[in-house]
Amino acid sequence: MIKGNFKIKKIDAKDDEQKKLEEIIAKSGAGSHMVFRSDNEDDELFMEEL
Amino acid sequence: MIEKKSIDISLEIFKKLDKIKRDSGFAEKKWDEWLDDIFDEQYDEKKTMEKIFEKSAYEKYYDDWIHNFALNLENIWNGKSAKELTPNVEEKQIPGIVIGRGPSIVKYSHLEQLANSNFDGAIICVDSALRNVLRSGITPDKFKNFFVITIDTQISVKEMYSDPIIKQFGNKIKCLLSTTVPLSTYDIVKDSGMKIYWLHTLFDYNKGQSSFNYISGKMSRSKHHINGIPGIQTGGNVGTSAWVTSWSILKCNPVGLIGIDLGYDINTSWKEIFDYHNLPYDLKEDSEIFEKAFPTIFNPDFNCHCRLDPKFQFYSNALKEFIPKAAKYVKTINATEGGSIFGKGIECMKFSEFLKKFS
Repeated sequence: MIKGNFKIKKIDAKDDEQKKLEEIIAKSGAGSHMVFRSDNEDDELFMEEL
Repeated sequence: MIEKKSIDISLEIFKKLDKIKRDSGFAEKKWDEWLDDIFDEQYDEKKTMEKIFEKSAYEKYYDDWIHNFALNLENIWNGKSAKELTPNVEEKQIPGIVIGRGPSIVKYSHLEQLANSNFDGAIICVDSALRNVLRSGITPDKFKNFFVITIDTQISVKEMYSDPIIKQFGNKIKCLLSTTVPLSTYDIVKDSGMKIYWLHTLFDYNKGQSSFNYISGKMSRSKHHINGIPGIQTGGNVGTSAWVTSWSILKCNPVGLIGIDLGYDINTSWKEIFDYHNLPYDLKEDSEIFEKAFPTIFNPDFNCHCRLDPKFQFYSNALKEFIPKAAKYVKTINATEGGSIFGKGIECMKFSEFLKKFS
């Protein structure tokens, strides 16, 4: 039981910290653009014609 | 069988590491497991950051991209594809220099060094650096392969093309424009006499036929470019876009980077950085959150420190990931002499050495 409580506290603390960090990131504004992700590593860098 | 490597570290450092490992709950686990866990956590942080910036970009720009693309469409149909800038396979590859506007460019007089050099390769300049580049004597009269690139959606971009010196050299400069730039940017670039070449900025092509990239790609096709026009990874910013363009479209090799700091000079105070972003200056500088959001990092290749904010971390993580991935196409040499771009697969050298080697 005690062990369980310790775990819950630790997770909550980490979540709060993570949330605060994410808030700071969000407040720092949008970049100019996004990073493009693809399963095809070559397409991820460029496509000759689209 | 797993290949193993050993390294020598001092006993003092080992004890510190061992304590952190035990404190992290890995006392009974192997060193590989602990280090793997750290790397996974770092990777997750990068992904989290990327997702937050993606969300912000969708909220801030997506509607503008659609609107701008619609207004540009006729000009795209009747215009030139960036693919026309790709040299024939038989042509010899030339070196390129990507010019950003990071603080190192002034600190190390890189523009003056380039202006006084005999470099004969391509110049690929980001829009915000163009005015100073031309003013420093790096002009298309001396550097025949002269390119500038714009991908941004902000209306303010047109100011970057409003200086009279740009009109003076405009007809000798080739300008690469994203299909999503505002019409006002297109108009001022055209008015300056530059030749315009279109490209797509990739962001959602992985979502298939319903994606903006897919639909705008199909809609852009015309008798002038029946198979479409090129799409590039932007890495979130115009500097990385210029680098991708330099080797994927212009086929430059090697490519040197200057002014691509993607970080603040160490002498920039946190107060200035916070003011720049309009962030409340209420974080403790020695807190864990502050160190994660605003880290000060050491660049071992140029023996200097630099400061990052979340945005520069986002940009820097992407470029540092993509340079090694592009190694099969291009040798990238970071000659910025500062900033955050270093690490696995990234060669760094002083700009004077780069010019000596490739002029």
